[in-house]
Amino acid sequence: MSVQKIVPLLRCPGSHTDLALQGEDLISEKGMRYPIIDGIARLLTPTKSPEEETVRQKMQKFYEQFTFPGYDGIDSPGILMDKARASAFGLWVDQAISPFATVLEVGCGTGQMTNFLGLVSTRTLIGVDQSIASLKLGQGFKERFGLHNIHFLQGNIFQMPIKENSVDVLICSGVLHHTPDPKGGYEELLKLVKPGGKILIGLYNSYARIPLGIRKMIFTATGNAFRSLDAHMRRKDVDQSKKEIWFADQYKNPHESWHSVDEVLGWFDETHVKFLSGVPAIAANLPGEEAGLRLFEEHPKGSALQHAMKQLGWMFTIGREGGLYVLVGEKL
Amino acid sequence: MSKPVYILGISCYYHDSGIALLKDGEVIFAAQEERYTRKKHDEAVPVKAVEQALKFAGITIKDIDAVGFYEKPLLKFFDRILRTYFKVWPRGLITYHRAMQEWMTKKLWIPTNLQKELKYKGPIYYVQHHESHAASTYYASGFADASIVTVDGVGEWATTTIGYGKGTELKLTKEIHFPHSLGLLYSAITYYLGFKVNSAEYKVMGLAPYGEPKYMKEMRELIDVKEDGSFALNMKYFTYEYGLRMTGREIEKLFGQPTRKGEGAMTQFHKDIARSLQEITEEIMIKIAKQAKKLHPSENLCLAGGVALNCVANGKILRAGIFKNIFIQPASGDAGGSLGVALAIWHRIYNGARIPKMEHVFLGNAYTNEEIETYLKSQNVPYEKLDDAALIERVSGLLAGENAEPRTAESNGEAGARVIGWFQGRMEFGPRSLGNRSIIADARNKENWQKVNLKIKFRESFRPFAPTVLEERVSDYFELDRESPYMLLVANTRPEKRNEIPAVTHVDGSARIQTIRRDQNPRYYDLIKAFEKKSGCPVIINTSFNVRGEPIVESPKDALNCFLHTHMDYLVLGNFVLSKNKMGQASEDTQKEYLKKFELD
Repeated sequence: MSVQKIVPLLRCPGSHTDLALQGEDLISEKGMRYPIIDGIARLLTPTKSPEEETVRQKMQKFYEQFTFPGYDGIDSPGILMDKARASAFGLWVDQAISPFATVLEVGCGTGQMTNFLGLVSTRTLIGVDQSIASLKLGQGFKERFGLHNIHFLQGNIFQMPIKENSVDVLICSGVLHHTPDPKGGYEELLKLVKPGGKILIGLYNSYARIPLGIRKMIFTATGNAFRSLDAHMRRKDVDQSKKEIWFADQYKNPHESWHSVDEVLGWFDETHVKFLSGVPAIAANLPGEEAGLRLFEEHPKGSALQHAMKQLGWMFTIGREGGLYVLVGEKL
Repeated sequence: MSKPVYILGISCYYHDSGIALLKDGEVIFAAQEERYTRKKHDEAVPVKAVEQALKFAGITIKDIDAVGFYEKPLLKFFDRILRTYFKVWPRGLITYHRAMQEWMTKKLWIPTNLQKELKYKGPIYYVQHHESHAASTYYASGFADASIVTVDGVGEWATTTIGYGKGTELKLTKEIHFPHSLGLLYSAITYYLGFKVNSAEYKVMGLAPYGEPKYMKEMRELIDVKEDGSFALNMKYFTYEYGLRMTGREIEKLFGQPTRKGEGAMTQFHKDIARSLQEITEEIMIKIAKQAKKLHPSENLCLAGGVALNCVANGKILRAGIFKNIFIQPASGDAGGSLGVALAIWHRIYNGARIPKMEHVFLGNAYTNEEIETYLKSQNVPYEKLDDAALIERVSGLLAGENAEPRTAESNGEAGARVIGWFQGRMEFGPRSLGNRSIIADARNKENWQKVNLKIKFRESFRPFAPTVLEERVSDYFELDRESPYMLLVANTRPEKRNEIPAVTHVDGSARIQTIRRDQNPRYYDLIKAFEKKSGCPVIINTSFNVRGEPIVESPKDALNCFLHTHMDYLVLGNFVLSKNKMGQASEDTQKEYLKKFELD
């Protein structure tokens, strides 16, 4: 079983003790049993606080219904590669991460990023999500193309089944803002990263998402009329089913919060994380970055005023795509 | 001793920019810009390629005596572009608006731009597009005389030419003019079939054997072919004179199906269209070749231009027996125009003597073992260094499946099927990998075929691979009695051998052959010879060393990157061997050690 290779990196999400593989199950030192079904280890345990658990269950239910993003038309690693490169971000992440790194993606959804990065077979990839429906899509792709270095697990951000100080790169994009305690979640995840390891945190931006918030109000008030106000819904080159998933993810999500650049830089400072770069850039690019951003090199941080100006501009750029931005940092 | 004459040929600003550097007529360096900029079909002024050429020759731009450009930009602009503009007016306002901007800002300033970007102050000569192609094939053929045929999309006006060469004389005597173009017909159908124009025409050629020529009537409606090989397109069906696309609704009506979308399903219909197109192309090419023979009787034929890369048609011309000998310029596309213009200048301006036949295309830059080792060390990857004899022994053993580690459900074990990245010596000029920047594998193994297609090239499974075969044994395996060093001839695999080498044999039994002799590339030859000794088979798979959608690798850095992003098992860089399994193991070990250390704290 391919999970064998990453057992040393896993822990019991409740007791934080080591896990061992026994037949089709993972077993903790205290005798807790976590089954592996269809190749996916079921390591999801409830969040400790009951209110948080309510939100989590709502989100899980939502993403069990809407598997995002879908794999329609992506029937080979080649097409996945083309798609990831077309988005530029995927390509930059791939270029930045060492071919020998252990990479953890939390909230991997259907695992397209995880699978794409795992096309480099010398990397170890772990994708964690709570939605089995989503994970199954990722697992299906990985199995079809024999990508033995990729592992999908079901888990909870606030009760991660991964040992502390065990991964080189952590990716958590478009996830924390759907939790009741984004900063708390961030702090938990940061513990899993080795000192010197890199983190990529993607969140909804408080400025960039304003136009979408306004549209959301209109849709709610009019009972989803005028859906064509959303640029994505107007696209002709995308299937209707994909559009529906997009619409649900963006406008019907049961829980979301928005975060400014300076707020997240504040988290970085508090937790001894050095800022490296932002996508889009929060101040300025480095020389030679016209050909592509170098995410793991230290970029100018800029001032709060600069950030405000940049983020206002984002309303009209990344705002169209949901207002997601990514900050990259290094754990000191 | 007098200073040698250095001539630099350049092609750029359309697609595939390239350069060729001559020293007293001898081609000492030639390369395409895309390999250095890593931008596929890069068309910019080839600054980086020139830099490498000068470095290789140990000279500076001041030592260059003449620069040649492969087209006549003013003729092209004031004559063809403007005239076509008025002809189709008012259609095409938008297209021409864009084209004009390009011409006004870039193409009309070629001399200024070349001088500025290359810091060159000497004379610049221009040769017509098809003359450049003709010169690139005839002057490199070594023939004392020859009929010449060039066929491509379009240059200034000409799209197809016939001519002859004798000694250092070269003349084009017949031309077919824009918009009537076999190259553009091929591109238009390529577009209709949902592939990328100017880049994926070879895929259409690869698709053809899977279809039947069911649409010949429709093809003849598109193109009217005369007995002498001259032809005229029915412009009702083509929109490239004024539109941004190649074809429009008319052609969809003719074939009865809409243009295929890039990722739409590939049906038998598409295969039949590809086959019909291929048939008509071959028919025209043979007629043109016959006409060339009639006009300029010679035993020898020289071919160039994009359509000359259609190796299936080339094979047909050869078997038609019209000419005894055929030379095809391996860099037949526009990049090869740089070589042609340089050779034309050498003969016309400098009255230089003919050069011997171009025997290989290993004309780009090389990396020494020291450079490779420095790079590998900087990347902290495990490797092994072997001396020449041990390298050949080891790699041929890997190819033949010796000491393979067993494949298990969890591991990417090799189970005999090993695919090897082979990076040696000087880079190839032209579109093909011919043994210095190649991915190689055992052609007897069906599993390899699947693996290379799906996990390394990440491409459609219908496409075949080309074999490299020891020249002395080509007739044992293929119905071919001569060399084909540039993978430009297609011939059938002998029926009794088809089961032995399935990975390189098309459904119709054909193969796109590269032959190899020791003097062309000693290390590559020795490798296959050693493989033959172990396995009895003188044939291996040879496919270009690149990641999907990227140019062929140029440096050890590109090679390592490609190796890591695909499921190749081994990488051989000069005398260094890298194993994917060992690398994976090393990274697992580091991880384990790290965790252990952490637990001790």
